[in-house]
Amino acid sequence: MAGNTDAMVLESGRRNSGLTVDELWLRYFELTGEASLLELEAYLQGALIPDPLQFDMIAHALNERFMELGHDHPIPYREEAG
Amino acid sequence: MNPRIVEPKLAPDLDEAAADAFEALATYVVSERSVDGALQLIVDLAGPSIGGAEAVGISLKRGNSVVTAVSSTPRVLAVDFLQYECGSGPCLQAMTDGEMQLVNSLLTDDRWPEFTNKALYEGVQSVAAYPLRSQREVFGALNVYSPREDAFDEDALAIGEVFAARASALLLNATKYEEAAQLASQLEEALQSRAVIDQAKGILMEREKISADEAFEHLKLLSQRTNVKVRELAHRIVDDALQRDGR
Amino acid sequence: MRFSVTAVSEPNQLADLFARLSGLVFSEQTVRSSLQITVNLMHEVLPATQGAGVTLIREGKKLTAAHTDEVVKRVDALQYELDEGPCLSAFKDGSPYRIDSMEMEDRWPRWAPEARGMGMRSAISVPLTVPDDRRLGAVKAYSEQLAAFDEQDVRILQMFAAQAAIVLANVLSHSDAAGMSERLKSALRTRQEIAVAMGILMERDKVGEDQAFTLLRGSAHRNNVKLHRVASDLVSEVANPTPR
Repeated sequence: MAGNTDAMVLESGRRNSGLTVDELWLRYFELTGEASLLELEAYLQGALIPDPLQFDMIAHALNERFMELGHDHPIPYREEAG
Repeated sequence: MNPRIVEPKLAPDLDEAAADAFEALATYVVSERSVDGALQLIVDLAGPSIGGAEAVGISLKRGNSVVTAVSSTPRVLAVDFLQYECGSGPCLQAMTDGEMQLVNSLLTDDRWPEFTNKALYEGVQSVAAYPLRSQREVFGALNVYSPREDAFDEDALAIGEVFAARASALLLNATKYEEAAQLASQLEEALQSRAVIDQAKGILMEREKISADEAFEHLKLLSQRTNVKVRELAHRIVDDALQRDGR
Repeated sequence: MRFSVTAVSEPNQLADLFARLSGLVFSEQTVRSSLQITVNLMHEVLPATQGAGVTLIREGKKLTAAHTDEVVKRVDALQYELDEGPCLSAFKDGSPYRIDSMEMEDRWPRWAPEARGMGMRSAISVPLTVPDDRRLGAVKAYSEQLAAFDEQDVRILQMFAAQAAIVLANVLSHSDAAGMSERLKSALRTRQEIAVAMGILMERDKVGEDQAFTLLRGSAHRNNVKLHRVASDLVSEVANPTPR
């Protein structure tokens, strides 16, 4: 079930951010994300579960987009910030 | 030579088949098709459009040599091959000079004797070879053949010229699109695990107080000395750094 | 013409490969020439035309990309300034528009009198749409005669619009590809820099990958900047330490 929660959080975040999956992948890739576009799609649909680092990278890609839109960081991270 | 893509004037009562063909060339959207598709389309359309044409082929430069990229019949391949073999002929001439070469009768044409003798055996009498060019260079030729003498009249030749110009633009676009797409996907693949190499660079930079380029040099030298791939070394450096401090 | 890529190990070489993708065949000049040929043909084929033209609209910016007569540019410019007119409507609605009498025209109350003032008494305009249904602008013709254009002429104009659209679609697909390459190149450089910064932190603070990323994003959030900025500052600092 945890996997599906991840997916829901990320996918709804993506929709609210206005990013396409392609655009999200590119930003995530820039942050040194390792998953391919197909794998990212699978994460967003809940078919694959990302490890905590990959999750945080996707979340941060979304949060940076939200910052561009003038919001704060709505997507919570898996790893606690130091 | 400073070639430009120039379209010659056509007679107002343009042959309908030719008009349709130009339409088809102009409507070819490169993102949906490919270079091979473009080549085939050109050859399929040129034959019926250029009055008197029995066979059509496109030759392209490939580095130092020339290949027949597409042909409407095996005969074209044979004739082209003759040219490549003896290193001379109207198509090669068109590519060298950037000028259209017209042969009305191979029997009486003496410009390329070696080629002529052999081509006659293949049943070719008339040849029209149009250079295909970009702004900077000639990259190939559109070649039209017929078993009859004087097969191509003024109209046919004029249509051939416009055809060559349109075909040039189409091929160049299709090629550049394909190159860009290919490189983009190769980039994606090549990058799958690059992150670890750059992480290793960062570790070395911090450890030795050196620049990113110097760090990469270190990796390369180490790779050469130990005969281990840079990527593998990078993995080891990162893993070691993690284990060393019990993280 | 085929491009073969052998294994490349140094990141900058990849960037160079992309840099070697040379310019567009359908350069801006060639697009304009093709559009010019189209409008010239339109002018020939449509009777009683004063001038024909193509308007391109992108992100709110409007441009007469090709025209057969200066008056077309001027009448078009009026549409752009007043933000009103048959071409703008054709673009917005995706429908063709025909004006049989500029004097009687009430759909564009500010533009029509001005156009009439410039001598135009009738006009037609159809939208310019590429195959994937993106609307790029409009194609139009103006006349000094009353009721110069009929339904048949509208259909003819639509055919020309389709022609122009194909040219533009090819340009777009090519520049998408070139643009994508640029974007990937830039993404690659950013990615590398962030990875280097992570390596630096892993060594400096004796942490793993996950923590290194967390440190970078934490700093980015506190300082309200992009993570990439934090990373590049860190890399610069290590590569060029300021003397104490």
